[in-house]
Amino acid sequence: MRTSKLSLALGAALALGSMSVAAHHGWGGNNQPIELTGTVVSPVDLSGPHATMQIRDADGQVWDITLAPAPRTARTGLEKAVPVGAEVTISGMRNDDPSRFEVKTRRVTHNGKNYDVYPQG
Amino acid sequence: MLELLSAVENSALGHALRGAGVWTYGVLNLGHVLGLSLLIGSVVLLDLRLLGAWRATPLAALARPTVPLAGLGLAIAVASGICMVSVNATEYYGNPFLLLKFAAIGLGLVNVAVVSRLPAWRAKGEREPTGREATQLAIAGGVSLVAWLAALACGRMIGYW
Repeated sequence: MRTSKLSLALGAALALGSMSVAAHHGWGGNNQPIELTGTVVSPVDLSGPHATMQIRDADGQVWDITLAPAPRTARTGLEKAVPVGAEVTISGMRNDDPSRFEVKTRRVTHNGKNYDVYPQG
Repeated sequence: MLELLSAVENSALGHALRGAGVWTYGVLNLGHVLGLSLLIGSVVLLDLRLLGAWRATPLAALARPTVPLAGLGLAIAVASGICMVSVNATEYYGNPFLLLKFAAIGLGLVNVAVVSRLPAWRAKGEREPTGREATQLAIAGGVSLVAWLAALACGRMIGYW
């Protein structure tokens, strides 16, 4: 009786554990490569789990640009290099949800200089 | 819900943490992991004992270190968790794992309240539980294990939604 309860509990624990493993792909939910050019409307913000900024493209669409975690993004010098109004080209992976204008970004290019917040794969 | 999240994000705590340097979020995250390690590590030991493992070890002897360590871990996790949410609270709007996690934590806390009132739990160290009481303790241990592991899993998945 006790043994069967223990097995049940361990089974539940393993099921939960494997759930985490299955969903543990870094950029799941962002699978479409994209390159965008626009002007910075919200400057680089280094406060959250990932650094972020916003840019507006030629059609007027505002995009949420998700960068690397703050210390890594800060080491590229990006936040000083691209103030509001700067024209940038970003490349990364677009959010799979077409209603969300969000790009997980590998590279930001400004004035011919590349800021690689993630290694180029 | 959005109003609540917005209020949390615009709190003095949120403002202070957003201005506190590039390593702030990483350090908060570290605190959260430490709290969870203490909580889950302690809870799993105690719950497996309640479920019938290591019966040669008296329940009271195992409860003495695990209960206060689990409480300490929970306190650290709650404090660091409130700080992390306040940094970017509105981004969690519509994230189902956040609500599932709170539900799981609620279940875990209700279970703690129930177990602490069980005569067999209160009398640990003085007498052995009866067969019926041992079953009650085992059920409580199983509920605890599921609740806290679900809270852990949902918490981790918040970041992947």
